Amino acid sequence: MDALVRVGILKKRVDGRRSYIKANEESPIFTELRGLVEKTSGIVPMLRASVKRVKGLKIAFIYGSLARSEEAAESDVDVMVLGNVSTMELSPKLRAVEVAVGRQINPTVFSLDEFAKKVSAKNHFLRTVLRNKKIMLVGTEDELESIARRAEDSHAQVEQAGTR
Amino acid sequence: MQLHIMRPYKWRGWRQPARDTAQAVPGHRALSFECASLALGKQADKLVLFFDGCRRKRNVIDYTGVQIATATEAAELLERAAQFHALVESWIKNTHPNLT
Repeated sequence: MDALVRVGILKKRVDGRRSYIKANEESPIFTELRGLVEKTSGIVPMLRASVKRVKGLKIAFIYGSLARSEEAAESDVDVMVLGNVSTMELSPKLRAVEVAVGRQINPTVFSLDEFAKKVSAKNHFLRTVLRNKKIMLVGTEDELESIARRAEDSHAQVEQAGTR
Repeated sequence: MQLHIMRPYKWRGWRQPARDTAQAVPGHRALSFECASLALGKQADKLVLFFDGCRRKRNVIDYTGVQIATATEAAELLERAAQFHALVESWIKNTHPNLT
């Protein structure tokens, strides 16, 4: 522990007989270490494992402060789920992760049809989410973009047909 | 929904603090869900957890405004509410037939 403090990976504050130790966010390798921890034992792999077998789920990703690496320790975790998914089936899996990590997980569930409609209607919330950073749990960013692009294309075709 | 959640535990003789109404008692919704699970048993666990998730979502939307509720979620909520209603009716028939 002292060695990690000496090389600047951890910060130590002594208050009387107590020592408080935390990660040094100013360390040049803080981002890489944080990524390593998140990928191996953090909330991301736990969430990934918990949602990957949910029936009907096509895409799932984390958005918001955690995805942007701007979260505080107690920040909620925002998860978007696309597919023919039962929130009731999803809830116990997410609750188990919440208990393990001590953070509230807020899922937002869209059927593919509703997602496509909202994207094509240029829904402000979804446009903001899609524009910002995401951590994919199930599916890839390419797959998500392809669903969004198809929705916008079909909306454009409908609009064109309407103006003819 | 609140009424259906509360019926089983009221009929088991449990009461909420302050006064015998869900109105104006802080945390009454969370308490109702906890008690519904206790009163109805394991058969209600999944539904109660689902409704509790909806309650928390409502809080996030109301107090932070950074979340949305989708039509997909609203449709499932209505479906689950009907399921819960049927579960409570069946529980009443089985445990308190005199009330039916």
